[in-house]
Parts: sequence; structure tokens; C-alpha cells
Amino acid sequence: MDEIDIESAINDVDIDNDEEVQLSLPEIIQLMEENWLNEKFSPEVLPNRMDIVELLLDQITTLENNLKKLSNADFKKGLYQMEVDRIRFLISSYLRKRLEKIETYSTVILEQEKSRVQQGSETYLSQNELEFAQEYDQSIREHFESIMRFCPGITETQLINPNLHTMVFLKSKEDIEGIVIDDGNDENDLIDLNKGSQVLISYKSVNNFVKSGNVHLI
Amino acid sequence: MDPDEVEFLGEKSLVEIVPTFNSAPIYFIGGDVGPFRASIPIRVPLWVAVNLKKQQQCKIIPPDWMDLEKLEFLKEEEKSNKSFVKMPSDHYMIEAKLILGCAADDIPKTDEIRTIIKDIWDIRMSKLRSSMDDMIKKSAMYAAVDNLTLMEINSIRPLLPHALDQIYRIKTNKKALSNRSQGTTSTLSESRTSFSSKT
Amino acid sequence: MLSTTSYQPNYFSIDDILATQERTPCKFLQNAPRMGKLNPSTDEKDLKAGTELELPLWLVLDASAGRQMIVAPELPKIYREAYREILKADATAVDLHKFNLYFYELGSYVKYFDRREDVHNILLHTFITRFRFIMDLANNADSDPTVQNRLDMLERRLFKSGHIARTKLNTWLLDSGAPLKAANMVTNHRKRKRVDDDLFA
Repeated sequence: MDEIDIESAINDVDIDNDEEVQLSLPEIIQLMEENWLNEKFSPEVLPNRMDIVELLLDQITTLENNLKKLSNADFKKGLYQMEVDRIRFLISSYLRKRLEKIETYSTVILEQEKSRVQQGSETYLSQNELEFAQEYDQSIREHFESIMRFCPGITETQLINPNLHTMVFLKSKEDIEGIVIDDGNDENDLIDLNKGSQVLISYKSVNNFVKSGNVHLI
Repeated sequence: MDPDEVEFLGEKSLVEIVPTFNSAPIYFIGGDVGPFRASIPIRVPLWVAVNLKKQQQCKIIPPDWMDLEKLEFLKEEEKSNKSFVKMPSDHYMIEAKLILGCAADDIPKTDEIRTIIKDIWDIRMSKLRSSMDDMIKKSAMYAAVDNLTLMEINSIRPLLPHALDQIYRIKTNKKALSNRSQGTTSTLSESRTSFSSKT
Repeated sequence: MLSTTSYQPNYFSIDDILATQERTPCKFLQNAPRMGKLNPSTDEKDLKAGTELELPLWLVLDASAGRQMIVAPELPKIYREAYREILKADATAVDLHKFNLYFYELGSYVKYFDRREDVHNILLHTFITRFRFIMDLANNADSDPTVQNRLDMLERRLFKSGHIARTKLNTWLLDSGAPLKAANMVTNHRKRKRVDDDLFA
């Protein structure tokens, strides 16, 4: 049996995003790659893209189930498996990077999430990540309280913040005008980006564009 | 980022192969590839090409730019130009490494090509070093890197961005001075000192 | 601290703790009752105004803050003019590690002890001038490993992360069935070139 049910696993799927555009699966993988790089290089944790993660996970689960039906002798089996492994790598690296930041900046991140909820804006962490962050933060707190009783409240007063001024490389996906260069002086030089331009610039200058998807980090 | 991760991204670029077999398409999540007809050229992602080649299921057709004459020209251009020349492929090093690594028998004059690509890379690396030094000397907090490929950008990471981060820190510490005299700063390090006085 | 981010001090960072531990000269402006123990050269119970001592930076920062300064801080000698002149003359020739393990971090604190911006400027000048040296060091895997002993801790951090990345890249370049190797003429292409601002473009 050669033509197995794999086809059904790769029909184009709707995905909700701001522009309500229908994305094809290749485009979604592309988006996953960009979000992976964004998360890799941005100093702060970014709004989660669990929508894409879930969607791709569904895809590879279905595909892997179908693969069981494919004969081992079929050369295509190895290739299908390779693609599954590639996507799985992308997703786990992405999630791991987020966890790393959540652990490092847990207290600050939780505070920001709280204020996002209060302002009624979208939270950055997924439900699972939020629970993880809370548990992690709690255990750190308890640890400090038990071994450093002489410094009460140390985790609340001594926050570790990401360095938002950190320099990043980016590629612009659109024409963008008037980005302020953050060079540590008071002069506010502006630059324009063309679609496809690549620059090295402070994350602080472009973080909004990273979050909105107008540029992506490289 | 690890060079392997850059390679991972570069492996998606398309390359032409001549399959030695017939087969229905492969329905990848990332898009269909095929159908394959023996001796009919077809474009596939690089990682697929390498895999098929290793199983001796195809010949790889070198990309247009992987041609001694074109590369000679490119090298001259790179040498005579002060700035970086636009490369014919965004992932030329990855394509060169993978294709020449597994399909040397499909590419004429492999050794010469290998050498000249490495020459071009080395010229660019040397330009990169001067550019980095230049940027640091000017403490420039912005640079256009349009014609650099991802592998090249990655080669100056983390050194260049981290060094600039430190320059930024040293520079902006000065501002804390004027603030401090007004007693309004609360930098992290200061909070330690106030903390120790509390205890 | 994430391994992938550049150094930035925070309350828990060991480098910052060690940097603020450095001995810093200062002069007592007021009598400090029952603080005589801080002065090893006397048995007196109280510290008298006018006493000059070296105290850890964190203590000096605190005691010199606010309206009623208890001590007047002074620049550690490595940031004074004589040493600044050495750095101005040729910063790359200096064994910065001998100056101080935390030359830049300590400097970022003590530069405020001097009204002028001389210390600030020398920190920037030193870092910028020595960058090429650090970069070359990080790029040459085979260079003498003891050379990095001349770097301060911040520079060492940069060197190490740069060196690790370079080693990975070199491994990647070699790691294929048939390594990409350089022609002799390119190995000689090391002459420094003057470059334009938009050279990256």
C-alpha cells in the first residue's frame, strides 16, 4: 500500500491570527521557524504562538500514526520521519527557550502577566507556561525563605530583568519608517527599513515590530 | 546559534536532482515533493536531496552559481569591492558544504570549486573582522547587514552584539550620574547597597 | 543569567558581588563611634574624622550616599591620572587583569567619585581599543592560552563566548566528507583593510 492516508493529514488548515488570513501548512512551518528565531534572540519572552505549535503537533502526530502503515522498505518512510523530526526539533527548541526565560525572569514575567490581565490585554504565556512559572516562582520563594530568613522579601525586591537594549539582527518583512536608533545618547537618529532589509539594532528599538510580526529576528 | 541550526534552516532551500526511480509524490507537511520520474529533473529541498543521494537514488545538479567561471568572477568582485557583494544564494556555504560533501561525483571540478568558495568565504570573513572593529571604534549602535548570509551573521555572534551591549552599558552609566545627583536612580546595583543598609 | 545573553549585573550576579567587594580608599568625615575595629593600625574604640582607610566598595557607596556623608570616597589608584595615561598611551599593551579583575565593573561604580568624566572616558576608550585584540584572540584557536590572562573578567567573558562560537564554526566547516579548505593565497589575505561605514551593506 503506497498511497496511504497521509494526504488527509496535509490539507490546508485554518489558523486564527490578527489578519484572519488563511495560511497554508508550508507557511505555518515558515512562521514557526520565524517564531523560533524570535524567541531565540529576543531578550524577553514573547507572546506565545501555541496556536501554531498545537497545529503542527497535530499534524506530526497524525503523520506518525499513518507512517506505521507504511512498509519499512519504502524509501519514503525515512523521509517522512525526517520531516517529523525536523518539526519536532523546531517545536521543542522553541518551547525550551521559552522555559529558560521563564525560569530566569519568573518574578518579572508573572508581574507583567498580572498587569496584562488587569488591562485586559492578551497574555504572553500559555496556560501551561503560566502554571509552570507560578510553581517555579513559588519554589524559589520558599527556598529563599527557608535558607535566607534574615533577608525577607528578597525575591520581590531583587528582580532580574532582561536587558531590552541588547543588540539583535533582524530581517524586515515590510517597509517600515522612522525606527529610532537607541544608541545610549540623546540624539534620536531615525532609520527606515525596506522589505527584506537586514540590520543590527537594539532590541528596544524594534520589539513592537517583532511582536507584531513586521520584522523577524535572525 | 549553533552552525548546525543555521544549516537546519538552509536545508530548506531547493536544489535540482535527477532521480533514478519512479514514484508518486511525497506529501510532506511542508509541501508536496514529486512525482518522481526517472531521469526527469525535479526540485526538492536540500535535506531531501542529500538523503536521496546518500541512498544513491539520485544525481544532484549543482545550483547555477556553483560554476567555476561564475565563482571566479564573484571572487574577483568580492576582492575588488570594499563592501560585501550580494551572494548568489542566501545559504551558499551550506549548499556548498552539503552538496560537495555528498555529491562530489556529480559536480565537475569539485576541488577547484571547493577551494574558490572557501576563498570567497575567507575574503568575506576578513572584511567582517574589519567591519566589526570599525563598528566598535565608532560605538555605532546600528548597522545594515543586507548582503550578509545567515551563516556569516552567525559567525560574528555573540562577540559583536555582546561587545556593543557592553559599550552601551558603559555609555549609559554616565546618565545615571546626573540622575544620581538628584537622588532619583534605582539601578539594580544600587538596590543592593540600600538593601545592605536595611539589614 | 542566561548563557546566551551578554553580561548585565543583577543582585545575584557573582561578578557584581565580587566587584563591589573591592577595597576602595576613603576618608572619614565624621567621628564614627565604636568603629575602631575597621582600622587595623589602631586599638582605639572610635574612628576619628580624618582617618583614611580602604573599605569594601559596597560599604563606601553606602557611607558616602545621602546628605550626611560619613566618608568621602576616593578613586582607587588604577583609575587615577597616572594609570589613565598608561591606558591612553596603549591600552592593548596593558595587563588589565593586574589592574583589577573587574576593571570595567568597578570602574562603573567609582567613576562617580570624580566630578569630571575622565574615568568614564577611559573605560570606554580602553574597551574600544582592546576589542580588536579580544576578537583576534577569540578567532585564533591555537594562540597562546596564557594571553587571555591579561583580560579583565568582562573581557574574558566576551573572549570565551566568542572563542566557543568560533570553535563550533570551525568544526562545522571541517565536518563534512570533504572539508572546504583555503588556498594559500587566501591565508595570506590577512592584511588589514580600511573600510567604509556602510561596509556591512
